[in-house]
Amino acid sequence: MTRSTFRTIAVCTAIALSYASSLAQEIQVPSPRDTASGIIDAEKVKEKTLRPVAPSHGEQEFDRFEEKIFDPLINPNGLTFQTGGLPSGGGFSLGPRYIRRDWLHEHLVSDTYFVGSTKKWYKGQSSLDFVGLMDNHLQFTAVGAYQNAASMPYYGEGSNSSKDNRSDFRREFTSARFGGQFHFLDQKLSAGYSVGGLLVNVGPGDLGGWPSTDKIFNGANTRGLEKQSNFINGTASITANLTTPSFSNPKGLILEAQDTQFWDQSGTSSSFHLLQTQATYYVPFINGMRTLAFRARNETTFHADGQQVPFYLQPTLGGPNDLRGYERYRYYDNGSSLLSGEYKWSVAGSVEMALFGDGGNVYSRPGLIGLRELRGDGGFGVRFKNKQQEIMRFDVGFSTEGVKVWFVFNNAFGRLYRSF
Amino acid sequence: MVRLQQCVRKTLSFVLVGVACQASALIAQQYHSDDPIQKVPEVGSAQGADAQTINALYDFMYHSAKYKTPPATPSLGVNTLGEVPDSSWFTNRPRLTTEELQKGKRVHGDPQPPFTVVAAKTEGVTPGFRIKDGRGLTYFIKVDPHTNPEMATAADVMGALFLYSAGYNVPENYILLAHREDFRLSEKATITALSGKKHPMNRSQLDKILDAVPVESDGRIRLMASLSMSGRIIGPFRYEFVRSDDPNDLIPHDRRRDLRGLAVLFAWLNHTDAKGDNSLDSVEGKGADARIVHHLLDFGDSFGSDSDIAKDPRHGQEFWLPTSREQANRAMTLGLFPASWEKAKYPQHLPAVGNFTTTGFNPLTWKPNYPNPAFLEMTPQDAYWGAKRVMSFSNEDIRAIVDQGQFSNPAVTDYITKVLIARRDLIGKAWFSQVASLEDFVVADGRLRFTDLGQKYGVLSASTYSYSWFSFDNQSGHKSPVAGVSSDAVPAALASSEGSFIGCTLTDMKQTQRTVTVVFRRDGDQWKPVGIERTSL
Repeated sequence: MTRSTFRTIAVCTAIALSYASSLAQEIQVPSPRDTASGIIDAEKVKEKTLRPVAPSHGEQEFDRFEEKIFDPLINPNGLTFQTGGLPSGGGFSLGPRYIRRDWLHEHLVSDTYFVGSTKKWYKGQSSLDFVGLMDNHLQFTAVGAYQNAASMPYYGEGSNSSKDNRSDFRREFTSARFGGQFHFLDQKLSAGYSVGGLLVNVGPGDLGGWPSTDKIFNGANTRGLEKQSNFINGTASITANLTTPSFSNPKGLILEAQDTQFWDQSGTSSSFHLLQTQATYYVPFINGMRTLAFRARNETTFHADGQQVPFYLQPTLGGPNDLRGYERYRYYDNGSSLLSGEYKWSVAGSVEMALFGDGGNVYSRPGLIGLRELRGDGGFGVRFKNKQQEIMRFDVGFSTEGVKVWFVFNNAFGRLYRSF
Repeated sequence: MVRLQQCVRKTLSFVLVGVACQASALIAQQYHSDDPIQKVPEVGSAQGADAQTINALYDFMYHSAKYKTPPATPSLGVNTLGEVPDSSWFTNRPRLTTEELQKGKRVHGDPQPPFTVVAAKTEGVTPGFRIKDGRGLTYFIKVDPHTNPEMATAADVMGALFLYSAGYNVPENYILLAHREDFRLSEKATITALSGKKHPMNRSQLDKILDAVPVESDGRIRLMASLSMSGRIIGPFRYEFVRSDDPNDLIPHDRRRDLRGLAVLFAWLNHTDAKGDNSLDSVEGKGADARIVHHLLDFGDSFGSDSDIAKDPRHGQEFWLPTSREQANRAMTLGLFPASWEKAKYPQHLPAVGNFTTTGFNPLTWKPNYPNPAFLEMTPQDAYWGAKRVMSFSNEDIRAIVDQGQFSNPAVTDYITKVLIARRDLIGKAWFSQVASLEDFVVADGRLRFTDLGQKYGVLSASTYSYSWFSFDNQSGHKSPVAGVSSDAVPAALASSEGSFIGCTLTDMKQTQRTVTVVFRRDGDQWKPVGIERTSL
């Protein structure tokens, strides 16, 4: 037993040494003290054991991940999947998507997706975009969509609505629209018009723990709660993007205005128009390593006597995109104003930090635009970026109503948003 | 028991024989008759070498995530003098004349009209397309951003010329000034769309690309034309590992002095996009003569240019992903205490320069966009080698090459030349301080002579050195010191017979860690330097 053990050890050691020796031959690396002939010998040894080049196992796996998941997300074409797309507050969403960007020499983009979220919100949308027409000056869009926001928060109307009156309602929008947009002045100025229809259904909310809106509010204090409308709408928009590229953020001013006329088709006296305006100004300093960013936004509705603005189409404030120290959709009313400021400092090429402050209010009629009943917050955030824009951000907002933590995949000062 | 002892003896005998075999391979001459090797013999055929790709995103993430400064390992791909012999990676070019500096690798001359566009891409950082010129040669075309006319095209040309003169393989890059009507579309031209698909290309698409090109005052458009490489293209090389299909590629790339020392040249030129994907291997020759040649590519991210925009001040200072304590401090202190490089003043009145300066430039800490494995492993000796390449460019050499950027405003040429000279001197001062920068060792009139490069280039004051002479046994590597002698005079006690070896260790009197040991071999009636070793701070 002992003898065979030692013999085994001896043989193994010899084999190991000879293997190490042959290995040393295979991967012999010329040292400064090798002769030219020694190098030639090493090359000849390697010549006998050549293998095709191949990336590491990790890189091969990443190639597959990029091909199957990353590329379809970033640059989709064909059957893929969609994340996001729901209104703010919908939770993480996922669903199938079919997109074609290669029709008519890439001038026609067809995009259809359906997503559902962890909060049971759903959205399906199909669009056709004619892009890059007239040498990139003109584009047309046709969109049909259905969205079911199963648990929209509602606290009542006005700045004095109580946080204790939190309720939920289901908001279903079925919409279709067709529009065109013209781009001038090297894409700095855009103007467009779209026309469409909007079918609305509002019902009890679906999120456990909160009462349904119709249990707390009624048709008298919440317009549109009992009688819902269908609309024809038309939206005129204009955008002037006067920014120039800089390092961490753009430099300059972006002006946006959007006016939507809602024509009530259900006889519920809900015809009105919504004017949204926004100015965003970026002031980089210290070679763009620091940035001051400001945003002013106003949303005002106008209606004739005897008409009303239904609560589900009213401007709102609160959430990760405006008053960041407050709950989402914390304030509803016929108009809202918002001022935001950020000081951002670049920590790394991919990371920027921010201190921010927001102030805003809602009001019942245009004549009340001002600083009355202002709600404010402050906070800090971390933004993860690629070279051009914020990819995701982590903001913490503080207000008299508590601390809110947001983790979202958009720019803090995004473009004007339409919920319908 | 006896049987057990026999077993043990047998076992030990196996082991000892094995060890003896290994040891015999290790005990060998220190210096050979062909030392120092001037050219690496590359005799294996690379006919079977196949194309490889590098996943740019993986490369970025992998090297950023695993970033840490590795333990120092000695460089390979050097001869006994510490120099890099000629190879498919690097060529020691003799001092070039002004005309040669300005010509560089460019033997085919400017592209000749008419220019037939054969393909274009809509993706990528900057628009680009491919042409065949009037002689049928294929060129890759790149353009400048509107915000900084002349910046990126000049960077690509100047970068190639500097690196060629330094000894590397580069493409032929030209500034092309042309009228729009010189461009016509091939009937088979294709354009790669955002979806990655290729479509037939039409004139309006070409016009759209040309519309994006800044126009010179005389109405011509300015482009950078890079001649397609000769040979069979097999993709980029990596800054680590070896190619398993190249018999001549024996040294792990992260241990190559020519790749480690490249960090110093890139720092000088501020070429921050130092990734494997910006390289290209080609197989030249066929059959038994097929050899892989390794090229550096794409210098549009050099000097003050980041190709489509002027450089971010961060470039060269920090990696793109946060890795340093300084970045953590900046996060915690609200950015209220900006670093000097953040506050650098750039020549805003010279947009063709981009953001290029000496403010905040520290050659010892310069960084590419993300960790490059060969650069991370650079030792002071590698950096010294790279710094010698940088310092070899005189003020006139630098201006001669910057002239090839063909800037319409002479102030741009002046500015870039001035910054390059200043950065060169900072590099010399920084890296020549790390090792004893002594070169050109000879024994003349019985005394050891050398050139102090720091002093020669005026970047450091002269140091004084102590001398420790020894005789050297080339078989064992044993040094036998000569006692009581500490001057530059060769001690009489040392043998001077043909083939004998002597050496001297010079130690900086102020910084004793900086030493140079030079070994000479008697060759006829003179001492020929065969070995140089340096220690660093």
